Amino acid sequence: MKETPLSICEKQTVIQGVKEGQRVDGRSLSEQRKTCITFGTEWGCCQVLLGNTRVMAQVSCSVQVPKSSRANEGMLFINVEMSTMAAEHFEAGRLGQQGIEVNRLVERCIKDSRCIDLESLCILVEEQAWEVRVDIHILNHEGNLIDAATLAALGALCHFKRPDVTLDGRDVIIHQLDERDPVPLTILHHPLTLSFALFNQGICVLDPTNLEERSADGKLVMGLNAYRELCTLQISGDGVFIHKEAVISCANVAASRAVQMVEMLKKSLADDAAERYSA
Amino acid sequence: MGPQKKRLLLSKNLLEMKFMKRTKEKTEKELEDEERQTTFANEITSAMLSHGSKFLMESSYSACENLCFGRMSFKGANPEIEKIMRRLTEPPPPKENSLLQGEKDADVGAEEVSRTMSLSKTVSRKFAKQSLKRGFKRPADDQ
Amino acid sequence: MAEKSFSTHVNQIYLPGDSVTLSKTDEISTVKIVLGPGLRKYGKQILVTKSGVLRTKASPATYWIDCHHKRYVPARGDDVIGVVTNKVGESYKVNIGSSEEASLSSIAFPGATKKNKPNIQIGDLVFAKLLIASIDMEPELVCVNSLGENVGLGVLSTSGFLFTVPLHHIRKLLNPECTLLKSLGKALSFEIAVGMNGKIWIKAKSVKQTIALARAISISEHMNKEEMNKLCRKFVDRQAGF
Repeated sequence: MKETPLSICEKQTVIQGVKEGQRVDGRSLSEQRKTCITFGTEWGCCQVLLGNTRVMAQVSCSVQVPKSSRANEGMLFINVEMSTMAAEHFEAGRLGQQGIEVNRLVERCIKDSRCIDLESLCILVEEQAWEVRVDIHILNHEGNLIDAATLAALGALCHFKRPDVTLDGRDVIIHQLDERDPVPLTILHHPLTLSFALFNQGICVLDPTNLEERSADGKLVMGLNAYRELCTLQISGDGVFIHKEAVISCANVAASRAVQMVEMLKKSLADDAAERYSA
Repeated sequence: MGPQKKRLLLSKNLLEMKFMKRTKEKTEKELEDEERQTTFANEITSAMLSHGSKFLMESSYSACENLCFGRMSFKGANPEIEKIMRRLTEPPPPKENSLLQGEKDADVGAEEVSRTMSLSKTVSRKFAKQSLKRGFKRPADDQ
Repeated sequence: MAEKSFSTHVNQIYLPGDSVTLSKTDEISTVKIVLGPGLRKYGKQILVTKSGVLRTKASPATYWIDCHHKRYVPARGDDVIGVVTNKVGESYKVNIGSSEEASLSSIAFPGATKKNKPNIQIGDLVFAKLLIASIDMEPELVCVNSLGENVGLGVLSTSGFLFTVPLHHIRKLLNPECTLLKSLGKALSFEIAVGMNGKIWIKAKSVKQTIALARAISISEHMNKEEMNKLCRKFVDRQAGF
């Protein structure tokens, strides 16, 4: 099914509103929507609500033969699924342009920033290693899928625990979950993305809704961690013109937000752990 | 020889006249209904008549819930819409008051007659033209 | 599933496939009974086709299922807001959020003739009535009544704003008992078009006011009458403070 086209009046109102510093949903230009992180009953299941955008990530693992080029490392695989219920124009089994963009940016932010210590996932050099797989399901699309997807993926990876492994000579023993406590992944830092919609005259709008994304001229995606280190940067859109100063000011906004978001993620993880302990 | 055949048929020329508009619509509708009945007469079974008559299907919520008309205007934002809103919400006029009823049915209302027939506008326009020629401006135009 | 009787189980939740039997009085009476959305006649049974709450109304006796929907299915007689996407010959293609685009003839406007057609651009919004809405056919829209008169349908100005709400919220807003729009109208001058397909177009004097109204309307989705009145009072106070 086709996506409902954008009408002239929607685009005009969004642009006019942004010029006056007013957003359609009442937020200020550098304000995010309400973010909510919840965890499932299984290890490595995380659901993120960003306004009405809803994304779920599930981490799973299996033992595989490591790649010959990286014989002493485990593997990380990221997969994005777009549910047809999320938006009318999503097709089952096909990612489309938007899906590929989300997949690639999550990969760049999480995999390429080396936030997971892959060496600790190696069991036996050249023979056995853990492959960690992150399945990201887009459940409802109300704009800014990238931020929600990276947050969900990171939350799921932080929450995930793999079965413990011991070596007896060259024999590998994988312990059942009731036999030995599972071990969490080694996470070196927490990278997140923060997206801005770019409007004419260099106005940047944080956490755009679907309507804002479609009305905007372009998009700026920043991947940052809590140490204010930049992991990813992408500017997309046709003929987008943006000042150097604007990028730097966006980066500053994003960095302070990233610190808050990571804190929030850690708090949700701690709350979940406490709940599990008491239960 | 059904009763339809005997029915008085009005002449086409008469029906074309403006005051016959309502009658024309009525006769057209009657004719259409008749035509429909004759075309589908052999396809309607007795079961359809006995079963179908009890239930009517309605797929629209607006009819079920008596919803209001969705186009609205408030505080003079769009006078045309407000006129339509008033027409929709106003209860039908009481029938006893035949004088007022006649007024409502008339093509041109008394108010409109008084507006268009009165000389006040013409005179004022004339006056405005004259004053323009003389290089004066009315204070209301002065903005 | 045990069969439920109509009159005693009004306002109860039904699931698709449940069957409903008529109450004794309705069974005997010869008055016509209207089956609204979510109910259909299947042989001698009346089956439920949508999950929701059974509602009823007297004169004419009407029964329907009230349910939560986000995606629109065209129904004959509904007034909807659509985006013009294309012009094909004498008619426009209009997206009304249904699975198929609707067509709107360029002479289905008040006062329009073959020579005098309305000026419509691609991307414009139209408020129109569904004349044909059948599962097998392309929906067809009109902007006039059967007499060719202007009844408030037509092209909407591009200076307004369009937003989408769930379909049950539209029904709540247009319910004659709902006072939200009227009370907002007492505070501010604005015009609005509410489409049964979940789209609301609104235009006030400034963009700021338009956005404020749109937000007030969309957050009232789960509010009851009391809360709506409170929202209106708060809204009026805030507008006065501008």
